[in-house]
Amino acid sequence: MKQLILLAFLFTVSKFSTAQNSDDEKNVVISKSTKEFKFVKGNAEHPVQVKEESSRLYTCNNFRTDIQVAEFYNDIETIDDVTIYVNESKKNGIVPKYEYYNSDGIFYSDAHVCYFQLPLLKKGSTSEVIFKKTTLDPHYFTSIYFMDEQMIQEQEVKIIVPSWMKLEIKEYNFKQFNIKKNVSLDGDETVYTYTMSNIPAMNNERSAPGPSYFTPHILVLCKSAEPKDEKYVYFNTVKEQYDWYKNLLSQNSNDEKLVKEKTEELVKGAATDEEKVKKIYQWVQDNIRYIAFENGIAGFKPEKAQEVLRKKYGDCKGMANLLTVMLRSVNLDARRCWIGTRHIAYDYSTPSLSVDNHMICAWMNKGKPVYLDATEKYIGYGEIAERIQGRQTLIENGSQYLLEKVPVATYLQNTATESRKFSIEGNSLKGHVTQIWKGENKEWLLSGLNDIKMDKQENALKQFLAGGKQNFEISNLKINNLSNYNADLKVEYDVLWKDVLTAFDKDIYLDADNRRNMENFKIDTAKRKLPYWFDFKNNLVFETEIQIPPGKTVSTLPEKLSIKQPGYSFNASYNNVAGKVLYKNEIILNQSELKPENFSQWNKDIEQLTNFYNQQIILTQK
Amino acid sequence: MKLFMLSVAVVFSATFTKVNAQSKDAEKYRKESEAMRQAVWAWDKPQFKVKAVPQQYTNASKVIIAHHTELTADSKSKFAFYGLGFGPKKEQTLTEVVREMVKVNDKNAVSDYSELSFTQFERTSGFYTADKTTSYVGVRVIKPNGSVKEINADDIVLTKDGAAEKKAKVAVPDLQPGDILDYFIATEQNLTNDMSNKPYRVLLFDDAPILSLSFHAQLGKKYAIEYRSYNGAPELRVSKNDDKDIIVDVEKANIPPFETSLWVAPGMQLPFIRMNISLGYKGFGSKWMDTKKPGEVSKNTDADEFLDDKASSLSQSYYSGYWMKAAKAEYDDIESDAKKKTKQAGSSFKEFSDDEKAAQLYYTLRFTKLLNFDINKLSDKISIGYNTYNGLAFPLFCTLKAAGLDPAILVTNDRTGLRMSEIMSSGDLTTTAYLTGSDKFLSLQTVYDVPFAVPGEIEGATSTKSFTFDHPNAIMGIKKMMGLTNIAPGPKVPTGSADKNAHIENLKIALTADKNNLTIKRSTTLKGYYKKDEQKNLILYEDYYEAERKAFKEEKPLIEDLEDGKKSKKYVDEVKNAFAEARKKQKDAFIKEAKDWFEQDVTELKDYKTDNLGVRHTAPDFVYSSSFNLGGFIKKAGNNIIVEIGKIQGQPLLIKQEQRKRDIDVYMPFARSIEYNIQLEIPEGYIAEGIAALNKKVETEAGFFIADASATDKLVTIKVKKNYLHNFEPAGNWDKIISFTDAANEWVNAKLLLKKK
Repeated sequence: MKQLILLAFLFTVSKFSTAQNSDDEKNVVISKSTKEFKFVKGNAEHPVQVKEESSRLYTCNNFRTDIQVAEFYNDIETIDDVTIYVNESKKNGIVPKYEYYNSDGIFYSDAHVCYFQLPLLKKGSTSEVIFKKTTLDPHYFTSIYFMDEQMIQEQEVKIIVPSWMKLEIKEYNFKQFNIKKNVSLDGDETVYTYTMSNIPAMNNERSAPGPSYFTPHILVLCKSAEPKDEKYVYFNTVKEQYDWYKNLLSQNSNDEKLVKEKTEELVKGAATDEEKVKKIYQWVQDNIRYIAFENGIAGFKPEKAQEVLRKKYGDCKGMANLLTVMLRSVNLDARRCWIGTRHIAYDYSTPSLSVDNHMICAWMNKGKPVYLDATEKYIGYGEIAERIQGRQTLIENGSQYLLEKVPVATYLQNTATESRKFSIEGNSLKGHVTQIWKGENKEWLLSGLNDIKMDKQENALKQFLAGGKQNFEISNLKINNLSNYNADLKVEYDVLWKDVLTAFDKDIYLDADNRRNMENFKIDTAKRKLPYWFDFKNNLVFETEIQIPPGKTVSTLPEKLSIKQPGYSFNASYNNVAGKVLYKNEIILNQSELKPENFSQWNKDIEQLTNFYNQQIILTQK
Repeated sequence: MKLFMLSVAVVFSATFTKVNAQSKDAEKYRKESEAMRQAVWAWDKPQFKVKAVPQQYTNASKVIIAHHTELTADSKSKFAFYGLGFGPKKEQTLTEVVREMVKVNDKNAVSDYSELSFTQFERTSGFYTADKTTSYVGVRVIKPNGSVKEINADDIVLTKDGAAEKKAKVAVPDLQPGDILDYFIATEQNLTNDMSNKPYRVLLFDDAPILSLSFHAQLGKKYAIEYRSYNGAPELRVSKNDDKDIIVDVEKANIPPFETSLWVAPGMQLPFIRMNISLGYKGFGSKWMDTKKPGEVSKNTDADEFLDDKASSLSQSYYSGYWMKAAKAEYDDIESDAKKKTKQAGSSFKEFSDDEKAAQLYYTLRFTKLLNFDINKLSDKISIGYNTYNGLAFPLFCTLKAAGLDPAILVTNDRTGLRMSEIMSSGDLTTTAYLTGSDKFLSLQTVYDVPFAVPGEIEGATSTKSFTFDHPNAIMGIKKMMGLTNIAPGPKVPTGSADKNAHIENLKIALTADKNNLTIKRSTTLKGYYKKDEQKNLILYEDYYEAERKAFKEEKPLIEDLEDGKKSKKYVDEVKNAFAEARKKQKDAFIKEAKDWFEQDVTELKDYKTDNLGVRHTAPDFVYSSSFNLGGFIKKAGNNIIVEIGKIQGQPLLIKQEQRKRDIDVYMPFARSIEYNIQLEIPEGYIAEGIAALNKKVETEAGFFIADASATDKLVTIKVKKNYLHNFEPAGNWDKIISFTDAANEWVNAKLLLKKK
């Protein structure tokens, strides 16, 4: 959905970001920034508009350079004027470029970017950029972020609200920053002024929470306006937001008949409702490609179900809508659900277009929602992706709505198990391996495999299973459930693992674990400031049984490892039982977030785990 | 030159635009599109009626059932008013239609073909020309039951909607594995007074099987064409119809997929056809414009013609860039600067040998023209190592000549480009300056090059030409000016041996106090073609500049020099700051280089420095050193320690399973050697075991892998060396390459035991 792109523009402008975004690069800073937003009376088409004027004064501290300045706009948010000063001169020859913005994962949107290189002529010199913009509809004026690509030394953000405009402002992540707020009356206008100093540059860290969790910003909740005689109600409560969404849905004439024919064909022979849902869900997962059109209102309004069915592509809204219509066509109670993925810090207690960025479908099974997200291409029925677990969702319910929380799955949903049985032959281990992937581990592997050409898949899978090592020779590979996502993905194969045993004199040394899950997975505490978000909660089980050959005995086994922390545990042990070495290693991530205050303990634990992996078994002559 | 060939592959990966349904242009475009679609879908070509693919390709990701290109070129002459008067105006229309019918068998292929991008409309305007390119697209999906679904205009969106350019893209609806996608992209180019040669290629290989590939062109009678088939590609059939139009055809059926991409020289190994198409012109100045006669058809044009083109263009360069006194002055300046610097260093330029003179001139040019400091290009100077040059043959030639030496320009082919006898453009040739007496080469492709090193792309060239230039006192007329070049046979270019391109690691290794990691004292020497990638990452501009300054015995360091300048003292602080920032980042560059090389965790890096920059022919090796801890090598077994020393190689090049069968020759970048000289300290209280098992030797005529290990009570010494002996191996030697590269991979598992006494 569209909001995600808008937010992405703020912080992931990869093509347009400069090298000036880390704390230690302070060559160019924004010495003064002012942003003023004023609600004004508009025209018949857009009766209430928001005029924005922002000025950024860049100062060069160390040595002359260029930076790239980028400002995004779209059908609703226009750029009216750009003024550029280089060393206080307007005659600088800079001509901004205006282009379509190609955003990853979105086929087409109305997003555009205005950008240019801004020179800073010498140490101590300044360059200034002033943008004038208009937001044509307060629905889309949702938030003001206080951070930028460069550090900001002084900043003033002003919101001017005439008495005919009703809104609420919510502040986020102000704590660690020195931000002062002042509210004053100027005639019939209320002026909200935020002043702040030394706001660090935006921190782009990978596998981190979305910016709404940690950057100082405000949400502007536009409630209503009465610029003249007519009253316009925006999102006074979540009910108005729901009504707005519902209205968009009602503008679509879904043709159930066209959809019904296909659906009936799919559910033929299905005995239960659940079986029907499974068949329909997997068909949509398999047959509807993710292609997103986010131009204008298409960012919020789902494509008609019959069109998605005809084109065999759609975005999350299109897929959710098609699923809903398909389920309904065979008399199943299905609902469209709006939801914000975990990268968004808010829920519907703050009604705003910033709250959600995604749409899924719920089948109401005896009144209880079963969530179906067809954008998750290889997840099974009943499995829920980490990104929506525990999130509040706005469920369609006639003229009313339901607010529910998506259930949280445990780490067991995503268990990946590898079981090996080996005998020793010379310097090699020979035997049989079974690997099973569930949940998001299954989805991760299947998406990787399906990105590979069909005739190269088996080879690629073998290379993956062998960890790219030539001495791990795989044969008799059998793959189960490559296309049934409701079952576990399972592979079985024989292995000749060459030269894994090393003989020194009478002793044989053996390292039984070449997976070494999470080895060296340390967090760089010198650089990392934000929490680390794993893709999902995880459970990695690795078991090996090695038959000891006659004439040999186990002289040394590594000591067991047992680490249990609130968010994770590592348990690994070797045992010598009835002529066999039994090795088991289980890694559990029962939370998907690692907080900065736990980084140090995590690193110690990872070091212990790595040291454990570095222990060898010794076999000796009896 | 405008891009004439519209590659389907490019189209599928590029970006695009939106249709303004309101405008007249849009309506006109819509009608033209519709007409184009009707015409193309109506083609009566049997290959587009095939729907079945052979059994052997059932498992292929995609199968190209038919691929056909239809090229037409038309021209007409008009008189036009240009503002200064009337003149002839030659208008051309070039239309290319590429239609492909492809069976998509899996999700990967569906994903490849599901989004189609194209430039719908492009206009370039100039004083004499008003050129326009318009593209049309047609897409239809043929379902397994035979039903055909065509996309409509609503499925097209514009991503650029300018007056001069419109870019569009289409998301192909209802495309699923098992479907056949039938699509075309047509491009119509309108050109005015453009006599330039339009190179055109037909590739007869692909990574997907092709059941039918064909090309048909109809060129108006005023056109000329020259063509050549490469590497077993079928011959073009060229004829003329009753209107004297040139008709060109070629077909090839059942082309199996081509998959190997390792060490291939496409120009010498893969089948393709190349054409030069141009509007013929014979009249005033045509000889010097290198135009063909209207209607001229030439097959396999002699390479000498393109050598002559090169000679003419270098004649022009010589005339304007050296013969003219004002131009030569710049080279005279380099010479006097070189003399001054030689004197400064206590020598006499006059007494130098020709080679020494050439080297001194080379260094002076590099220092004063490339390394020279310029505050207005501060960022560019700091990252100057990333700049690349074309060898600077002509400026180097002129520099040497101005100083009274006897240089020439060697002209030949790129060793992995096209054969010398098969070139089809002067652009296929490379030029390198050299000294005729000693046949020593001088080339500047990066600032790190040294004199007398042979550029890699011409190593081993035998078919070479030597260009020199007449220098008469007066030049009258264009004919004389264009004919200054003398062409003579050139020298054979030597090929460097493996030890000339070496990566040598000298490693003093001990265990860390906790015996969990290795401590490494490392000194690395890079030679030959191995140098420049790391030089650009590790050498600071400031260090380079200062090293050269000292070599020239210039008195003041750059910063002092700037501090003393009236203008420059104002900005010297900035320069210091910028240099300090670059120095701060150098540590990260050393860490990254070590991590990338050893493929293990590198911590506690210290004492990092560049010991010899390798930028002078007298000390050509790049040497750098550092100390750090290296993870991933130590395993514990009770009280004993296993050192997985084989991992020191990182992951050596592995010939993958699918690459092991090979029937084409092997074009490698250069002969090369990788060497590790390891001294591992045995910790107090331990003895080393397993030394003998570390020895390994696989030697073939293509190369070798040798590991030699020995030990004393305190030290294990291991010498590991892998050599690729040649830059080229015949296909028959492939197994010989595999055998020693496999040996290197097996040695990755090499371990030694440190046993507690």
